[in-house]
Amino acid sequence: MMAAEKLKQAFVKSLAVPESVITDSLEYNSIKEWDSTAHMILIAELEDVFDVMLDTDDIIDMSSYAKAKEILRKYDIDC
Amino acid sequence: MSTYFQRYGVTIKTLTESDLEMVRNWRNSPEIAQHMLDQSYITADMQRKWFNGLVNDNSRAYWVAWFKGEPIGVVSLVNINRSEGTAEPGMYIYPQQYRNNIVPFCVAFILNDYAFDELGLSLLYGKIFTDNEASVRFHEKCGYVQVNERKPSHEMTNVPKQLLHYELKEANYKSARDPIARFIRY
Repeated sequence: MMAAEKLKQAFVKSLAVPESVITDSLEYNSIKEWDSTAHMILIAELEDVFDVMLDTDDIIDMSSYAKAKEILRKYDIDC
Repeated sequence: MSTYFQRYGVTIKTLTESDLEMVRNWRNSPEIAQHMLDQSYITADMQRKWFNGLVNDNSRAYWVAWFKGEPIGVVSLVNINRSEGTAEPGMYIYPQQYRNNIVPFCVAFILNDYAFDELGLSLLYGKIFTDNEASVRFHEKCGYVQVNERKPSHEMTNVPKQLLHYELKEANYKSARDPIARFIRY
């Protein structure tokens, strides 16, 4: 699976939302499903899927789907 | 009660008189007040009387939580009962950018650690409005278990909504905390 698809599926699984919800404009205040609990489920999923260890500041900064792509790029993951 | 405690990148400092106006503004903001049991508007006079009432009251403690050198919220323990080993915790975070990620866990963990490790308590309990789904999920993720029994409350709600009652035992907390705390890499 390509990194972009892995990322999308990680969001679908962690936030428990349909794939259609996952767009670059998705931000954590924009849907009720993306709360602090879902955020930590998402972080665990991303670390598992991409085999990375994210800095805590990156975990805090990951406030949108687009931002997740940008942060993962720092870890040489191009989504 | 300690005036300063630091863990998980968060520092909690005992609430002082100079914090009062900042805290009152946070507490009166609609996004914070909507989740409170008492949603009355708090005047400066009410706030001062409340603060004066905390002096020499060993059953209540309030701290300001600091993160990255910035005050971000309030944590509290009320109904502290040392003989029974129980207390009712409370917390809120004001800056929007710190509300929906790992920071609420950092803040909850420092408060829970203080209660269990420093004060030696064995059970924390609290109430959540049924429509506050994010808070329900958050507390369950932290190890809280829903109970039916009604514990004494430090304040009565003036909001016509249902409340869920939750309890946190130390062992449940530590089992729930550790898988999340591993992401706090400060």
